[in-house]
Amino acid sequence: MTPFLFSLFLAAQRTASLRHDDETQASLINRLLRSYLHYSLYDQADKLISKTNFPASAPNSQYARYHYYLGRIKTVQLDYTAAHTNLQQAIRRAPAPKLAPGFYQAVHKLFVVVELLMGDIPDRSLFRHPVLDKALHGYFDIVKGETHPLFVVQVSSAELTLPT
Amino acid sequence: MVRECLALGILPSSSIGRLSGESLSTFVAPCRTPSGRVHGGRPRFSAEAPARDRSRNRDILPPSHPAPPPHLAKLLLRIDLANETVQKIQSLNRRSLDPIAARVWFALERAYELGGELSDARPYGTFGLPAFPR
Repeated sequence: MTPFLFSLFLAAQRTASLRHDDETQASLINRLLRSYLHYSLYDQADKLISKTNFPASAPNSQYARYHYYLGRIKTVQLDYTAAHTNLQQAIRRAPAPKLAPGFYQAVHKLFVVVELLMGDIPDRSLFRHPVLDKALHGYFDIVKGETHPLFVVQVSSAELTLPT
Repeated sequence: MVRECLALGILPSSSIGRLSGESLSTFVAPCRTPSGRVHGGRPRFSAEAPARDRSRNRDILPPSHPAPPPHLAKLLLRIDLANETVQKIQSLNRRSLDPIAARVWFALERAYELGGELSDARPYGTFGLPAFPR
């Protein structure tokens, strides 16, 4: 997104919030967060979250995205407890794993990384899930103790792409 | 409007049957074919759009500009279409369009995102796009 597009989306977001167009507003907040994260503008994303109220009547799909982006931001800010809560919410609100496997995998990758960073061992049954077992293979090696935990840093930076 | 949403891929073609009410008929009206039939499935918007594209960008692009590869042309049409639909929704100014507007904004951002990734990789990236300050 260019600065012009950011201002376009921000203006639309202001209009939507004034008109109480909840669905549009939820969508626009998520779009803006996604773009900020795409360019690693975590401070601006955090500012947007603090200045806007995510509409309570937003659909689950938007809530799932919002919690995922929030989880990402909190992870970068090293607030792992908040990140964990948000990612758990994202997993709960996410559509069925077979319906949106990309999102499910992306959320779980970050979730496993956050759990490892908190010093917890993720649940083993997670790695046997038909949608997740291939995507989380590298993370399972870390959990089993076969790979050095430093590998988690490489894996997370290489594989944590933004799902749509 | 329904036709645009179908072309943007944000409304499944099966949903036409589920939509009803007077608001739909107002929006479908311009989408009717001469035979009076409503467009079904994914309409081909590529046939009419390039003409509009060229006339609009005549002052930006030299006439000798090479044509973009087909997949990029499709993406640029998508950006154009999403832009036009957003403008249309804003000019209609109806609260009932809220759920559709949410999806159109999604399509617009996604199209620009894909366009941005392509412009990083190829020199054609800015073809047909207004010259935004970077």
